[in-house]
Amino acid sequence: MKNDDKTFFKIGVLGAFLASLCCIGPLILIALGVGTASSVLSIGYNKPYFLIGALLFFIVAAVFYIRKKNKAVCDCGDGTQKLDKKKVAVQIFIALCAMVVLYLLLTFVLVPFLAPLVYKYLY
Amino acid sequence: MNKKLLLIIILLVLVGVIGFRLAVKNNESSNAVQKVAVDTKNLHHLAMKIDGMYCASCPYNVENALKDTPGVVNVTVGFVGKEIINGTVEGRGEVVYDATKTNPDKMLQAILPYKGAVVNDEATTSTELAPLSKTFGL
Repeated sequence: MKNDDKTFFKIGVLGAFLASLCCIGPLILIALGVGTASSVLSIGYNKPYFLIGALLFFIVAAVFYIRKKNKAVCDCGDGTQKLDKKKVAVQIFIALCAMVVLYLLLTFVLVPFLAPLVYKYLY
Repeated sequence: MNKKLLLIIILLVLVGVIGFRLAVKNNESSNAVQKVAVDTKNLHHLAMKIDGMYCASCPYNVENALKDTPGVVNVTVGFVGKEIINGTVEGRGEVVYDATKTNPDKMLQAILPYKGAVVNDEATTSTELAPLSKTFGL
């Protein structure tokens, strides 16, 4: 995988973390001892906003990525080169898939595993 | 600064803080005195519906917020079935509480912003509760 491809893949991973912050966030705060069960309730309750935020983050990152790629193609000389739209679309699609899969793993596998442990041993 | 080094430092700090808290908690629980026996005369069993629980950590957060309420003796919170209400899975909570120390209104306040509604509230003599399922299917 090239460096640019990796960068956009990382955006997908970061997006997944942002989206699942509603569920993991309270557990992290409880584990670190900086929150009580009552004080973290509103974080989990606002899940839709985290999902919308993560999606917006991904869309903005994709737009910037396409513009960067476009600029790189235009800067390289006579202007005869064209942006490989198909390749960029595949990269964005892979990153989106990675984001969705990682989000599902974090939310439906990691959180149900961690939540009882955190509350049992750290609260 | 090197990104990897920064990441390692952050991870070490996190592991250190969690490890320290684990050690302190274990020490506290081994030194803990036995709980005072509950007076069963004033016990009430409250069943409530809880709306707004979206994810797997929600029942744990709500359950522990109720546990923190003075007068609550035993509590279990979980999802019931796969019914979706306003985009969220229907939740249910059962609480055994001392009626002289708290009341359903205080408990509903304690779980805000989750929307709770009292389904049933009656006197009981038992503090036992069957744990509700905290998982739900997609």
